[in-house]
Amino acid sequence: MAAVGRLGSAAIRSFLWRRTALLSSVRCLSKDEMPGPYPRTPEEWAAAAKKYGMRVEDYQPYPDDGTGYGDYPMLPEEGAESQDPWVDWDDNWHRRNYGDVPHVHSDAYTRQRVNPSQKYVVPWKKMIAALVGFLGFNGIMLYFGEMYKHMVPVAPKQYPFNNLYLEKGGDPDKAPEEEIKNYEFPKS
Amino acid sequence: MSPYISPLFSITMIMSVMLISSSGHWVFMWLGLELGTLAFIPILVWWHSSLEVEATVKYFIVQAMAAAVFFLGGMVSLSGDFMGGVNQLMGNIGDMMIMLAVVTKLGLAPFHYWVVDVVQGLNYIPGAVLLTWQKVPGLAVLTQLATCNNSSMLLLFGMVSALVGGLGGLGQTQMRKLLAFSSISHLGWLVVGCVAGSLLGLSYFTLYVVLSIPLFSILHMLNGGHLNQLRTGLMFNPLMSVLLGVGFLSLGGLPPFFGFFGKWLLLTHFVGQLLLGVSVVLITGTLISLFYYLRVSYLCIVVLGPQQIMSGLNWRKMQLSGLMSGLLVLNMLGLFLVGGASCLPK
Amino acid sequence: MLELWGVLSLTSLGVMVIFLFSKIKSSFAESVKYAGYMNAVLLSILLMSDESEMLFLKWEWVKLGGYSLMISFRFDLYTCCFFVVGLYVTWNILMFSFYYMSTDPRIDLFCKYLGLFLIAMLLLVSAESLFQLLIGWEGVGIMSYLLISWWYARSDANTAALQAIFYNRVGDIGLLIMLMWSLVTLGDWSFTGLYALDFVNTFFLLGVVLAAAGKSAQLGLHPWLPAAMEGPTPVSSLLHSSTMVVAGVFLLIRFSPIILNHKEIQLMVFFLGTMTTLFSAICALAQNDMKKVVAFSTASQLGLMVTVVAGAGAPQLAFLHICMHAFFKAMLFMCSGGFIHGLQNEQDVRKMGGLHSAAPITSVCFFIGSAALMGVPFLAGFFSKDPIIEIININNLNSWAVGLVLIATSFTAAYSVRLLYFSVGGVSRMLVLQPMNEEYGNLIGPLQRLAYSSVIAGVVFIYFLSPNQISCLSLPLSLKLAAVFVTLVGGLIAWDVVNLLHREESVTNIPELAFEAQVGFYPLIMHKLIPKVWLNMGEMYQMQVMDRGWTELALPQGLGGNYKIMADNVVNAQTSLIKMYIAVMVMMGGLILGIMICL
Repeated sequence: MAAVGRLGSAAIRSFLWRRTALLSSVRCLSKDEMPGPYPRTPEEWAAAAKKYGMRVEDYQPYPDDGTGYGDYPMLPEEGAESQDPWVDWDDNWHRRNYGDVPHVHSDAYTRQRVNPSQKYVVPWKKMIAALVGFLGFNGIMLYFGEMYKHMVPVAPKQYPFNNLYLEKGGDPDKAPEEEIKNYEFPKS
Repeated sequence: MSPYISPLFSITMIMSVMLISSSGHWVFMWLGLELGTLAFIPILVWWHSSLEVEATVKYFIVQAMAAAVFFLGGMVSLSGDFMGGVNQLMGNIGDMMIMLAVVTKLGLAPFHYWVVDVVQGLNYIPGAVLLTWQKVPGLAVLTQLATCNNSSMLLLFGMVSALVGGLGGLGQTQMRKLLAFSSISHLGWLVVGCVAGSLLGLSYFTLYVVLSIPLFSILHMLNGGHLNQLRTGLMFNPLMSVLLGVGFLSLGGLPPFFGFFGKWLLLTHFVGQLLLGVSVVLITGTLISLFYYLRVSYLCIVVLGPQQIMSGLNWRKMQLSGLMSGLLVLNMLGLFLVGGASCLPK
Repeated sequence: MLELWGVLSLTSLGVMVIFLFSKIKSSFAESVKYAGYMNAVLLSILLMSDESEMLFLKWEWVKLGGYSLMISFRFDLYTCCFFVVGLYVTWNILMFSFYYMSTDPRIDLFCKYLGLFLIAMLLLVSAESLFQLLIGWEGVGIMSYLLISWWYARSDANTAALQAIFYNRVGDIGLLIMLMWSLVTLGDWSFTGLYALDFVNTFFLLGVVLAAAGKSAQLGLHPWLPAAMEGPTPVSSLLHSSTMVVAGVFLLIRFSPIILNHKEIQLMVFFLGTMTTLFSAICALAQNDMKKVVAFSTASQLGLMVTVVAGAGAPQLAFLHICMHAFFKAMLFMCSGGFIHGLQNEQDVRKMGGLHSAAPITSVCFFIGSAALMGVPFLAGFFSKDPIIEIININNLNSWAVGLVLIATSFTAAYSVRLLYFSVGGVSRMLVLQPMNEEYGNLIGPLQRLAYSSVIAGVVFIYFLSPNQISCLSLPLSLKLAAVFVTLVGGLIAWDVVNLLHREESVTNIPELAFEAQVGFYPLIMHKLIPKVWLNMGEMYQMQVMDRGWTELALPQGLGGNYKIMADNVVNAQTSLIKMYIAVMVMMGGLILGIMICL
């Protein structure tokens, strides 16, 4: 059973092996420009760093756990929106220079999409906690409120003269025979 | 060759078809087939160029071989049960041999090799006759042969033809070879249509003739043997070039055009007779062939070839514009024609 | 008599539509005015005549098979009252926009958009079938989009317009659910057919709730409402008073007979309304943008309306609140528009102050509007808000929800007082030499007219829009004064809020205030965080693994390669050698014959 499980996870991981993602780039990239296999030895490591124009100490590929990108470097997540707009970029729209190695998800980080490196005064976790806390607290209290209902005993107002039957525009011919008896305070 | 003798050949070809369709005995069918072939051969070598002669010789060898097999098949069946009528010869070897001979004469898929070479060697006009009129005798025999026993074999040939016609044209840059492969592909549809119902085959054949004869004649006028030569067509003769592009789209079976409705008509009948697998294979073959039809249309309609600076579209040299626009309208109005054809009994 | 009445009302609207095409924008405003007067007269005739209160005008439009689509108008008390209120308010807003947009080169088109907006809303209100309701509903949505993005060169305005149309689109799904369900099960789209149902369908009612929540900006689908402030002020004024946002509440009112038969849906709508009113009131407390405060107060009042439709089961009161709210909310927006226009498009209340001496009439109107909003006795808001609080109090309802409504009501007073104090009262903090001036007839006129109606409308409308199923009840003094009392408490809270918000040190260090100022972090989470998660997932799995990975490998590139191999095989067989051909053909024929013999 365990073997089947391992086989399944291996199959899933090989399916998620995203180096195939760069397949469609074959149309515009030559074979040498495609990311190579994961570097094993220090020499390969240095060669891969050189290939991407990086220093060896900066270079860090995605972990080789079966879902990686070969020797493609793991770059910091920076959205194009947080790049300096006043720099004379080669590509002003995407705010990047010619020859820069793009982030592997750079398609998602263009200016009209998300900006992963934007800083907020309140961190995300606090924001979510505040909103969920507010809604959740009120939800729980509404649940309890449904158990203990708001109840004010009220009654219709009582008026003399058959509850003002004639005064409210009732038909005198069809007036009820019995007068409605309202409670009266005992005199004296 | 003297042009005065050509009516003789033409009348002989027509007579051969009449002979076949009016007779029920295989000997007369064989006679009709041979007459048609022999009358056609002088037309093939009309201009006496070396390519034509080579093509004619190839054509003659294959046809003669097929005729021999036909006759042999007839003899075999005759020796089997001593009965003359074709309709009674069911399931024996002679019947099968006759069918194989006819299939060879038509150029269906496993026996299609000669078609491409012969058409490539010929001019457009004899090529058109070869791919349209010369199919009639074979088809006339085939409709009488298409009995229950060998119809599955014919279905198989039809499917293979559609696939081979689609695949073979993919890499072609020669227009005539391309048209030959297109003809093979359409022949596949045609044969399956013949099996499903002879009137279906007849209407699809009419449709193919109506679609392809204008194409051949326009290609003859534009004198385009190679795909590259079509690119300049839009500049020199825009109307014809556009009609050529539309005609190829129609031949490929794109919806607003005539060709689509023929295929639609056939497909409704196939699906109605539960030939689902056959339909899928035929459509796959047509889908593949659509690639080269689209390429031709693209070159004809969209691309403007290299030209000198001051020469624009040459609208003054338009010839036969009435005929051409009539054909264009015919292509566009396929809906109405097939609307009548779809009333055919299933 | 009644038919004549309905035809006259429709004719006045038709004349208005014709004047919509006229090139003179003031003639259209006049036509709106006279249509309003006409409908007011007709309303009074309707009220005086003791005939049936309902009138249907129907024409057959198209016949589709067995189903005939009708153009049908439903003239009941709601429709007639709304015609009068909507036309009156829109006339004033049109006049105001002549002042506010006078420098806009496309002001004629602007007035036409406003008119179309109004017409779509009137169509929605008077619709008798769901299909006609859909037409008005979508018309309102489209016109709001066009109007919010009126200053299309501003990216904020475009974003706000897109938000409006997207959130509304989510709500429209609910309306489509209603249409589909009633078409499939009933084959009929008329309200009368739906009212006559003897069973209540949860699916249908969920559609109603979703549609109403989208249009009326209930909690969850609310962020578009404050964002819509990016449009010009007349648009905000029209959008928030008598059109668009009340459409959702109006839908709930129309379907209240069905909703009140379904306990769970009723409870759901009740909770939605209470949560919305509280949430929006909290958010309004800490806003510094003048229009944002008013916008959140609208959202809060909408929540109150939804609450009273479902929770207390008094749609008449909700409708009364819609009418009252239309008067004073339109006026509040106009006043803030006047301030903003006079201060050179300055919307921040921290840069205002002391406007009572710079613009006295606008300030007085602003005060009247705020007082009416708070429910100060015997102004317009009091006559709808006080019964709402009372009816919620005397019903046997969820105690926490009742508490939330009371808290939100007190917050209404809090943010109104705060806004008044910062804009009108106190000392001036604005830049020097502002060309503040209210010598414009088109500013003062509409303000005055709406101020009068904000004062007297409640007294007039309460006569014929009081809830008919609630008899007069004896209330304890504490409950009778509850609304006024919580309002007073709210005024006191405002003082604390002012002290808290406007201290010297930075306010962002207080997390509760950040929650309020960032409107509950809801737009940030919904518009930034969730799209980020979705985009990353889509990029990593759908795009990289599937779209550019395996499907690319299998289909476009793989198919091409495979077909190339097959085509090569077919073409390589064409050797041009007749020997080969004949050999292959003979072999094929022999093979076929052999198979035939064997079989």
